[in-house]
Amino acid sequence: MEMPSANLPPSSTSWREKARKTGILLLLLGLLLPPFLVNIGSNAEQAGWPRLAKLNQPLPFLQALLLCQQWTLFSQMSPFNFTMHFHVALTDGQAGDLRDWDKERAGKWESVLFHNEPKTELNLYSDPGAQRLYLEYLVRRSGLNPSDIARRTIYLSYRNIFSREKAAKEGTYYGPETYFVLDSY
Amino acid sequence: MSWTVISVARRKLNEFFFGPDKTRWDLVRIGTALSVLGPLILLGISGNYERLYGHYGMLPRTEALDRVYWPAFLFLMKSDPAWIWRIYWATAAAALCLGLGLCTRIAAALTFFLYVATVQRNLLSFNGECGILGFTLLSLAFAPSPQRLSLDHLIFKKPLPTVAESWPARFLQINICMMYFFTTVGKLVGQWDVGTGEIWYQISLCDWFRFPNVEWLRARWICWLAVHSSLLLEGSFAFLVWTRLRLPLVMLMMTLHVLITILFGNALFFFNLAAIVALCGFLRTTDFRRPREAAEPEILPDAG
Repeated sequence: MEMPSANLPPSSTSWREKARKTGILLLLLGLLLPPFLVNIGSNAEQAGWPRLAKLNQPLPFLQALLLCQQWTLFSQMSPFNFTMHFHVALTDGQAGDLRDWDKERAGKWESVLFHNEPKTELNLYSDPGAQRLYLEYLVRRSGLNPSDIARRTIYLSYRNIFSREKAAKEGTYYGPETYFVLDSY
Repeated sequence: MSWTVISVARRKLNEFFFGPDKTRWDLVRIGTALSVLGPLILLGISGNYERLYGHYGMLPRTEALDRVYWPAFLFLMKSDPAWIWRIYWATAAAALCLGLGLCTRIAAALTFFLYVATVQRNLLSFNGECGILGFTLLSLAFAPSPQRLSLDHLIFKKPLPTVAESWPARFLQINICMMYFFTTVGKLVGQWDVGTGEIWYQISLCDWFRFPNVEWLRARWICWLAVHSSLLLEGSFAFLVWTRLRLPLVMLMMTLHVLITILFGNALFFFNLAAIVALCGFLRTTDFRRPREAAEPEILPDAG
């Protein structure tokens, strides 16, 4: 049976206490130091300091638990307004953009029910593999047979934002709508 | 001489991490639970939960097996498509218990793991609040419990802890400091045109901004002020929050997040809520009391 700590001799209690506190400090150090170093490395990468950039190492255990965030990501933004499109051309000659029925069903509540969708689209924009998987999801949801599809195209429609001077000259803040193909297969 | 320095440093360190904790954990707890429950309810009723995490969703189970981190295997372990809904209800129940203060530590640990598993199931759903809620939930799993505004204390009459150490609060606080500090450094070394503040001009015309037609919001002096004041506030937070400026600085930072919520689309609502909740980790039980009350030592019910 374990003796309550109040009955232990003082030296034993203080030894236990020191061990407990050291353990807690080591745990905190283990949780706080890696993200600190990773963020230094990540910033150094952006600043072009290759030696410090080496600190940005993958830490799968902490990353799996969302405990090693790269806070530099908060300081990045896309430099234009964009919409992603997922286009299919069928073997019978028909073609068109795929629609996301879940989002369309939400109607005027889309911006509330799918409140995080702009961020999901940003994540999609930076992950070509996920773009293809999403296209296949839209194909399944549309009831199309994948073998009937001759060509799949993922493209962006975007509008650049003019600089202040150019906007004054053009009379508008936004550039013309432009298209950019991200993937075609 | 060096011996004295070492012993002073040890005493300070001991005080910093193991001194008495007066953090407003009840605010952190309730806010965190809302930040988890709110999006979860929206995911459930919109069909987005199935779309993002379903076996036949955007990242099908067969594909996910090779792409996800280990916590997400909770979602993949059963081939039954209804399995994800059991995880959904378990997450909702754990977050509700956390919000109500029922078995707080267990609820926090469970919510932490289920939340992490959900986000990891499809990293397309990862965003700013996920990082903040990760360390906030973990802090709550270690935070003193039961807390003032909790069923454990109010209904089940569990006494408040007599000795509460600061280290869970320090974990939360240091994480918040790192977040603001590295965000600022990122903006300074990144592609932001910090000098003239023209980045704000660009932001005010992006489709996330609620008021693109309000011209004065991109006047040159507003651009300069918006960029430089936010950089100054975020950049100095990590250092000044440990001084007497703590309370005004935290309140100012919360105001900044409220302002961002008003100015930007719904996509940033839960991120800013999570940031405000995490900032509550800097508030003490003695804040907002009248000076005489705050000066009185706190008598805990079971301390006699």
